[in-house]
Amino acid sequence: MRYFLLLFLLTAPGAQASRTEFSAQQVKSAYVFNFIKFVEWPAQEIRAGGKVRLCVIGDDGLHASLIALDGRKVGEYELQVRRSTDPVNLSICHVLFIGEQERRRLVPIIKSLDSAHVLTVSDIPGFAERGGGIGLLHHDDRMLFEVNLASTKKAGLRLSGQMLNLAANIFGR
Amino acid sequence: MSNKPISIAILSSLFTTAVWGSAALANEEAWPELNLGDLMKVGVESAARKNQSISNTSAAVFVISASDIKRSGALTIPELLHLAPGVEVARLGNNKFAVSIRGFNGRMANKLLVLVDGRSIYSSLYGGVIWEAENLPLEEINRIEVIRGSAGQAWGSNAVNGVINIITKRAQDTEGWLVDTHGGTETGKAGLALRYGSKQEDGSALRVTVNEQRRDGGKEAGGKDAQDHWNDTSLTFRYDRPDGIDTRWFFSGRVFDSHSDETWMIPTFDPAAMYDITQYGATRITPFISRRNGGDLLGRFEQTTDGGGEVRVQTYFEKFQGDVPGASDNHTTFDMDAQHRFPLGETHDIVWGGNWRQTDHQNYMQQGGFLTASRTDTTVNLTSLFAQDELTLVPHTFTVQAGLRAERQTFGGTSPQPSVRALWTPSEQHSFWLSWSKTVRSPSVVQQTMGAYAVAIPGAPAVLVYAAPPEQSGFGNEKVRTLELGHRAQWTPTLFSDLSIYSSKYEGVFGILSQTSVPNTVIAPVGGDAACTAALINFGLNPAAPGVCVTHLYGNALPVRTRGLELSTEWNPLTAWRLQLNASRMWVDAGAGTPYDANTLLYGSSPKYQGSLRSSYNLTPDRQFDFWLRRIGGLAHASDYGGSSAMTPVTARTELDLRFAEQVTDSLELSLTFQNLLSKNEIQFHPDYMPSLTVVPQRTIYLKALWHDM
Repeated sequence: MRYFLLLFLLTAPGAQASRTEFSAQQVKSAYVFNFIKFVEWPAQEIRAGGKVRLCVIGDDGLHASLIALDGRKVGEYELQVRRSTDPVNLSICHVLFIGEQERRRLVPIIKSLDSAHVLTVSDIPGFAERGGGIGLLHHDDRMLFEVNLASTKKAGLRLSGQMLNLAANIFGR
Repeated sequence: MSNKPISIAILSSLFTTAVWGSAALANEEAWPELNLGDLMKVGVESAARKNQSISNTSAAVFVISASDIKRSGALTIPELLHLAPGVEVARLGNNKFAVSIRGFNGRMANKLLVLVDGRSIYSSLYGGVIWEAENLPLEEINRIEVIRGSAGQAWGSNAVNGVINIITKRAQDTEGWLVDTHGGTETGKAGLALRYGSKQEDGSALRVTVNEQRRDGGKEAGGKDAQDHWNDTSLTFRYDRPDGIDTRWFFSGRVFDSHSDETWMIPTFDPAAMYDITQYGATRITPFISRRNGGDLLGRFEQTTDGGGEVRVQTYFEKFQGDVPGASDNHTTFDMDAQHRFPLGETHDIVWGGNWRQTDHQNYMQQGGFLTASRTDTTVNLTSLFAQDELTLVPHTFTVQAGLRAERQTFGGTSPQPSVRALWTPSEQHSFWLSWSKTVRSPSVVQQTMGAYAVAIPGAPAVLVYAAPPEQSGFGNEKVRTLELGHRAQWTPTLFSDLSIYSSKYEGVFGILSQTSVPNTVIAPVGGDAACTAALINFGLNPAAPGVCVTHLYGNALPVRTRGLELSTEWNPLTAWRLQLNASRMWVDAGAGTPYDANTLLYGSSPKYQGSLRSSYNLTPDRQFDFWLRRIGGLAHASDYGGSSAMTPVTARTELDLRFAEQVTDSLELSLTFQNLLSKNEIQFHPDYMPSLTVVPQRTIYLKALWHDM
């Protein structure tokens, strides 16, 4: 017993993993940031070189991460990060991240957006399957994403094939 | 009835990732430029996604993720369960388990409800779970939610001390081929699971898995090889189909065949020993193979409605056949469950629904067997209605929830099961919850119809009969009232803790009723007692045979009080290193003042303390080392059993498991697992319920290969 503890202590604090590991928060932020590059909004909504309004609700940590990217260039657009607490005005967002804290209001939120030109993203389990746009899902120690094409089409968005090729699951094709 | 508010509502909220603020942005310049392809490859630290959030849960919940399951090295569901704090898992050899939460453990621990995708695997015949028949391939499991505390309002009766909710992966997430195979010693002798999943253009997906497991027998207390092998074969499938934006269908099913050896020590006539099935005078050993097979089919429909609500309807059918000498458990179950959830105004979240279940038991006790009951065919009906409202008083800060379930069971009658919960989240780092609830355990068929149980061995010199007319005891529901308090805290971005404190008061726990004599037995020669003679004839036995009739009156005998606390902590000192420390302590006060000292019964099955330290370390990105140390203590005192010391379970035990894994290629992982390394040939738990031979779990070493074609 003592021997095993010793073995454990000797082996455990060895070299730190050389592969870069990110916190789930970082990976989520990076996904949201990257999705924007692969989405086309209707021309009347955002002009090329225009601003993409990104709203975060129900995930203060992610909002804090993303706010650091406010004003950055993403693809052809310029990113504008907002935290929205007013559900009535969610349709002014181009990208809406819905965090766990809003899990209970998920369905009303999706319904209220109707066909507004909003790309919805969430890490709530089953999000895409339940009518959301892009869902983030954990698979072993990776984070993957799935897409509901019926939802994004309804919102008038065009998703690049390159992105769809990478999606773990596609619903509503 | 997976349903329930708790499932969807409470648990998914556990899955929030931590609020780590700007500390997580150390290399903020680098990461946004990762492209999508790169993102899919990067490791996400603590992908377990649990224990990191200040979750909005007003119950003691622990989630075992798919990654925990893989890294635990466990090969069976019971072995996985002691990943959660406060769960006691004891092995009664290589094919039998005793699993319980907050005490009252036993092979048929009857105060714990277990569900697989909403299908109850709690046996209405015995009360408890026949783990030998639950051989779900572990790679199919998405997560296991372990809810401690009484949860009858949300989950229905028998969720007395907790609920274990096993949730399988969606078919969409298991595309392609997977081979999971291992070989080794003892319980790790051989196993092969083969899975294929396929996705369609419309988003639907199907997977099929075949699974074959073989486990060797352990050792008897004397060192002899024990006859407790366990082989099982199963075929499972799951089909998921989204239908438009709002509707989802899900179908799953399995057929299985499980063979487990068992050796029973059946007492021949010895009046001095017959009070206690654990101490045998003259004994006869009967090795046999108990065979359990059957299948089930489940369908679920989910729809999100325009008003922002969700409707869910589920039904399942199950057929089960189990045979042990002198008894068989053949039953079919049909279950329907529906629930509707909807927001009401800005602050109310309402869930209501109902459940109906019918289980038909046929020929569950053969005449003249070891266990004999007064009826051979029984139908158990369960009907319930429930409603609950979660009221948000201060958004994201303070919610209260009140609910009630009214349930009717054939034997237990109608019982209300209310609960009241409150959750206060003063900051992002801390949350506090408080709950009060009442839950019942409904009588099992065996308990209710046990006019008597008998030993009648063909060819043996004596017939021994225990007879107890149930009408005299009028056995009904056991009731428990539980008060709980909890605190969760994210102390630093890498340190999380979850503490719960509980006090439970049980009324009418099943046991021997107090009477004039101690123990409460009446001994009379066969033929000398009218009730006994009638019982013998009823069982098809010869009332003129030599033997003895012992009458035990069973009923809602014992008041019991338990108190305890459970702590689980998680610390990530390095991104590649996760440490989990769980500890629990419990106090039992049972039946004080009753002539039959119930404490001796309960202490052995209710560990006073348990602790577990688990380390998951990634030596390199492709190499994992896992270490899992457990200590379970404060169990029965040796003197309680009286029998020979060679057959006495230990009062405390320490267990150690180690696992090394290497990702050899992108699709192949090899791992070597050592289980029960500190084994000192000790008996973990005394056979109960059935007079099985005491078996000593041995060390297990096995090599595993996990291959998938992605």
